[in-house]
Amino acid sequence: MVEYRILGYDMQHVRAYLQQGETIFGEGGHVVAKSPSVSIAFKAQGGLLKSLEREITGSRFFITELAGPGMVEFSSFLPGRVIQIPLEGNGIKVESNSFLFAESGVQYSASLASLGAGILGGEGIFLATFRGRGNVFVHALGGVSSYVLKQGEEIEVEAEHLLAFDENMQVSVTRLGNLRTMILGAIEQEGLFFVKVTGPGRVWVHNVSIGQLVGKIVRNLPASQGPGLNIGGFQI
Amino acid sequence: MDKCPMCGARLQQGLNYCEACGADITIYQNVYNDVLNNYSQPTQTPGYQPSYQAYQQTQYQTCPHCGAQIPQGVQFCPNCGKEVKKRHFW
Ligand SMILES: [Zn+2]
Ligand SMILES: [Zn+2]
Repeated sequence: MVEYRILGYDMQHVRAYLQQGETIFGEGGHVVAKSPSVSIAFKAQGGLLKSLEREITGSRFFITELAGPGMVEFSSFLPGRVIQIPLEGNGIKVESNSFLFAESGVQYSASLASLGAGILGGEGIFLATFRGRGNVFVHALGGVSSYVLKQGEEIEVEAEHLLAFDENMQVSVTRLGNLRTMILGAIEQEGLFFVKVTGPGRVWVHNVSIGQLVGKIVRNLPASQGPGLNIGGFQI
Repeated sequence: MDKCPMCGARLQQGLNYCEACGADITIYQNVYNDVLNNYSQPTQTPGYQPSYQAYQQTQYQTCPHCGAQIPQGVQFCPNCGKEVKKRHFW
């Protein structure tokens, strides 16, 4: 059995202790430390690496296989919480930038389905599907909110805050407003987008959206940085 | 339940929600069972396509304290907040 330790408070990180012969697969960009004895192979489970290597919102979703014995630690580049989601034959959908790693009994889907293409600077939200048996570890930016929805119960989550939800849940994207000048959380965008998720199931929500964080930072840059910056196709 | 099933934070005894993530822990097990039921149907295909038609509804019981109809298996009554019975989910 792989042993896990979720460490930290406001900036959580997670260590996996692998025995000889044990493997996990994880997003290569989130590995921060490992024992020299842990090997990293850029080899996708099920040979699906190619389709997962595609560009996503400026970063790549690199799946690597890590083999024991030894320790490997995953973290994010921003404060937040590490969430452990155990799968017992069921599946979850995860906003792809939030995936840290999963146990070898978990399969991931080759298709990074885009939810609401055309929003958020055109790319939408990329969701990776994980199914099978074992733990999936994801990172919640800033912290995590969660909702447990009964059959037929619905919630609307601002699109960039969506982290993960049960695979069986139905989702749809709605837009409020259509003014290009709307300034929401410091970012100019064409309206406010919500993802409506219908129960039964569980929904995990980021407390910080990366888009809003970037928007706040850019607005506080010194004037000498230039007249403006183009982020996701929007002039800020 | 001493840890939140949604976020792993330590739960405050006597509260029916997680102080860290806001999850309603009284309905958690029933909702999660409903999720798992999507995968245990005989019509399941190899692609894990959930079968919505065969979906099983939540079972209800009567709260011994206030008489409200509450989901089966909950530890605390969602209506009056009292403990229904001692029970360990995991
Ligand atoms: Zn919680
Ligand atoms: Zn009651």
